[in-house]
Amino acid sequence: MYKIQNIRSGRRRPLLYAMTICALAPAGALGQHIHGVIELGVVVEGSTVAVSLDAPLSDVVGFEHAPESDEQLERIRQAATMLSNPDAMFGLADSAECAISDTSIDGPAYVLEHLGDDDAGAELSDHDHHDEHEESAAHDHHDEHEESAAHDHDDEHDEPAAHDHHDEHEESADHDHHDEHEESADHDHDGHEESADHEHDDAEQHSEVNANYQWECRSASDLDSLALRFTESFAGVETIEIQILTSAGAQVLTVEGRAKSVSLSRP
Amino acid sequence: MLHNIGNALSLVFKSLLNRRATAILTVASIAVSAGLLSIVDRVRTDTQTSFANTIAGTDLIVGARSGDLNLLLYSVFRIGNPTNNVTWNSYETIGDRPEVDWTIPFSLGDAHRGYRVLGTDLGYFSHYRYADRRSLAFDKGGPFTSATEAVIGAEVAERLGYDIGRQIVVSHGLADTSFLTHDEDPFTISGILARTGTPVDRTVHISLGGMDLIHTAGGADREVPPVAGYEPEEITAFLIGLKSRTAIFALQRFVNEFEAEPMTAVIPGVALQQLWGLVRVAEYALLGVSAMVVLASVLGLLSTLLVSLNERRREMSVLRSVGARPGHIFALLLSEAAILAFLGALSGLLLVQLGILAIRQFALSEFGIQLSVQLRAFDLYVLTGILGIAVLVSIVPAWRAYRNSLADGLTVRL
Repeated sequence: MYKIQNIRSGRRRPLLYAMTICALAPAGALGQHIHGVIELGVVVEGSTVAVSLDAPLSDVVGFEHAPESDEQLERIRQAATMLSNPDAMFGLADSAECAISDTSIDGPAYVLEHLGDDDAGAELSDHDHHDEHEESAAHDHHDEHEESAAHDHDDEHDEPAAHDHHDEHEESADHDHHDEHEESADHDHDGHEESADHEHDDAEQHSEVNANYQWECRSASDLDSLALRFTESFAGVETIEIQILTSAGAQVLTVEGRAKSVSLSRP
Repeated sequence: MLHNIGNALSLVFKSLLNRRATAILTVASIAVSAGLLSIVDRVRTDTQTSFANTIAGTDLIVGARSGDLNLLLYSVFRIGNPTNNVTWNSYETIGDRPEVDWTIPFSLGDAHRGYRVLGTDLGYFSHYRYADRRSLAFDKGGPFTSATEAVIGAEVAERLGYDIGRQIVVSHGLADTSFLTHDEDPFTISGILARTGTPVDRTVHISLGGMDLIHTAGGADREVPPVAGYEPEEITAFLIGLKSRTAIFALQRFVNEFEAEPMTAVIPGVALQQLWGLVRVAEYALLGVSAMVVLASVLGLLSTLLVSLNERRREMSVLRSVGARPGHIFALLLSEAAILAFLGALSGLLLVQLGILAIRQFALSEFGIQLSVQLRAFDLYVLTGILGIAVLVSIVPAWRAYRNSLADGLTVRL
């Protein structure tokens, strides 16, 4: 199945490596939807620390649809409040003297609308929505209203071409050929049947929350770990896949969902 | 005291010399096992370094939707399955994002006498980084200035004996000798890059326009596309350098969710970590097997010593009669084991060094792996480890010799 190019540069080169690749699921890329798995990206560059978190909504609040009861609404509210408060999500060493410089949160509209519920988050929420518009403009969505923009973000793992709702079934038919990840291919089918019925309904769709935080630190060299405070409140997180990029290079690690902190220095 | 030790050592040596056949065999078996352990670890770490050194300063590699590793290995290391192309449109859209500092387009798929041909633009020579963020330097000449010019890597120049101004022909496809050579499309070598120790050395670089030139129907009256500003319809992949790395995950997400075309963005360092994660089991298995071989060779040493004890009873008795105490006999056997182990491990490591010097060029040109020649900490561990284990296990024969020397008189009944 895997043909190794018979050219000088590739000949007999780590055959083992080439062979293992075919057994590979496309792991690691942000934007996949696997229940129970949170993806965390951490960049430390100079005095700036940027953290990007991707989580299936079900792992954050326990369900993946617009709130249907007061209890669910309350949980969405709590999650939104927490997401918009970087200190509740992450902790950086005091000695590093870090101050939050940017926060942006993306997700289903029914989550985003609660970002402003908290007084402290009111301004923040405006900022977020602004960001989101910018991004969705670049995405070249043909929908105008905000709700549908959020909807597009919901099924993030979709084949982007499949967003085009004109020929949905055709797209999803050859979708399987593109996608190596069987599970997500299955999910897509569900998604499409659903969206064929009611295009802009969030119900039963995979919903993701994506949060980006950025800090400016006076002494970033003091940062040897990042406290994961959100793990106490997020329901259903099994593992956290973490990618850390520092001046020392890249690190990839997987920690359990209850982990309290992650080391930023090389092992 | 020192004199005594010197005497004792010369005694050990002379005793060993008397049994040189078994001694040499023991040393040889330890040498082979030590060398094996050393080379396995060296190839392992040097492979990782060579891969990591190939791409530095590139934040993201973007190509058509595929596995992360496949895209990385094909576009940068030229191994594995070709990936689909991405349209120039997508390339421009992503390249125009505000957080992007520079982009380098890659167009692959052709070869020159077995060496990969890479279609790219002039940004390649200014932005591409390897090892510790070193940029590409020209040994001779300079970048291509027209679509019919080519820049070759150091190894291509060396192996094929090419120089500036030489005309070469690029074949369609990857085979060494493709029947579909485009004789009517010769490229003139405009520059030779300095050696990098990366796949760049084994690459022929032409402009994107030149790439299209070899794929369109021949004819002398064809228009030669310009080098700068030429826009092909498709490219294989592209590299992205960001103004600030903090935008890396956001841009990766943007690319992965790109509406117009299914694409994958890979962070090179992360993908390589995933690769090492995958092969780690195999690496450790190899290391484990090598360690077992070391253990076996040390046990061989132990059994040789034990077997020799009986035939050396008289030797021991003579030593005792000239004043050696039982403790001396004990030390004698320990130092004998230590000397054998030390000589074995040392010659094993030296063999590895010699072997590396011999195959270095081959490993670099065939596998792209730069093997290091300097001694490393691991070699020291191998040496001391083998020495330690040998001394430890030789306590058994040493103890028996000690007991024997207490019991035996000068007239041993053999």
